[in-house]
Amino acid sequence: MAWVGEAVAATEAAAPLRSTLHALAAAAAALPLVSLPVRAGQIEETKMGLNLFSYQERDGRIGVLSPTAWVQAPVARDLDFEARMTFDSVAGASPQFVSNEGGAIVHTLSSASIREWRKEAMFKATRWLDDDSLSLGADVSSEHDYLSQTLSADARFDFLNKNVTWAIGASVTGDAISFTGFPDVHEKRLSRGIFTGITQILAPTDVLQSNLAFTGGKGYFDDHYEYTLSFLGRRVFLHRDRRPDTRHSLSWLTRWKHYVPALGAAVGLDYRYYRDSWGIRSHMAELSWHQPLSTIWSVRPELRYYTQSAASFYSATIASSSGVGSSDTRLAAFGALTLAVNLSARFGDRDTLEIGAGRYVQRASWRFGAGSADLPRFDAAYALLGWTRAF
Amino acid sequence: MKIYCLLSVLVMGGCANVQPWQRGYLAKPEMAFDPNPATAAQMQHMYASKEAASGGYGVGGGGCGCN
Repeated sequence: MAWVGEAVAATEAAAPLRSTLHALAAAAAALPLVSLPVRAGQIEETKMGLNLFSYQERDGRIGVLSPTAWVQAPVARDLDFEARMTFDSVAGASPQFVSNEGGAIVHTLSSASIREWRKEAMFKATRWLDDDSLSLGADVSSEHDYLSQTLSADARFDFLNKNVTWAIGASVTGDAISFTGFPDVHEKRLSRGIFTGITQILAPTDVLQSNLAFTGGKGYFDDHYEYTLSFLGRRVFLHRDRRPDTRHSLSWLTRWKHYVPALGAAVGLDYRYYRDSWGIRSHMAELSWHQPLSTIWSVRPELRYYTQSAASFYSATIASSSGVGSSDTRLAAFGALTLAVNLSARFGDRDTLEIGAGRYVQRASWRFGAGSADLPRFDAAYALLGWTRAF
Repeated sequence: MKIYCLLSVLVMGGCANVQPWQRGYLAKPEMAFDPNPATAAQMQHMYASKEAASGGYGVGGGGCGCN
């Protein structure tokens, strides 16, 4: 509030020369600036938070408990940093065999109950150069049979009186894949990504963002724990999951936020188009409504619809024991719906508590167009608890 | 600049010149695209492990054995 005080004091000092109306107008003009960053996107105050995310699939499949700690802080006048650490505890059984032995397609879970851990750490530093910025980031994700390491860089430029921000960036990810039970076998994958995006203020109540991301990957993409057992006539084929050794993808995400002054609410609409060299085409649309209920509580219901076509090499039965082919349901044609609600409470100026729950359901028949035949129903629920403190 | 405005009109609705003192609504917490970075990362991770499509939210982000 010191900002407002200085503005008022300045107008009072000049009172002999200005009318009372001018002084009030100057103070009023200063008010909205109090909560605005000096530069678009700059971290102005230190924030840290803890999140606990719980995810459970129906029918006794995978369950995940995932605590996350994060911090955002300005460490100098022109330098910000962000860090996040996540620890996933995964338990349950994953699909291992897809078979049509009895005529119908049956997805068999692995007999042994798995228990795995994943650790992820992310770090990002941002240097401000006047109104523009340059960021460098690193991300490491580690599992007992998978190590993924990413380096990234991006730059942001402000234009047109800070009504427009243009972002460009690039990343490189190296993945090292090993096999449980085969300690001498190791595979690798290298992915490169480029990114560009525009964020534009359309009106005092509207902001729009549109991002394009291209990713090119080369190396090992197979799921080495998944097999397809196909009974075709008198012949039986056992096929281990094999995929092309390259994958190029395009993601085009557009996000719009609109403030409704009459209701004090914000509505958000996201749309993403995705396509890749495996023949997958996807559309995603997400609608959210952020409604403050009081000075403390606010609620945010969300509805998300997702649809994708199948990969060109996807099939629930594979008439071969070699070559490219996969029965992984994530490469099938399906549609998915998410219905979620988040409740948040602000305690004073420093603490925010967030509680959320959602349900995620996939169905072949929900695809925009025809879905893959004999795709099993998939149903999952999640809950989250988050706490954020500003300093 | 004119070229940008022309493209902007076609793609994003135009070159509005919203002054800093008109941005009070835009500065409200509920107008952030991702109010909580950890929640956003966890949701994107969940979807990336169950769907073939991902990305578009920014540069970087680690891979994992779940997809």
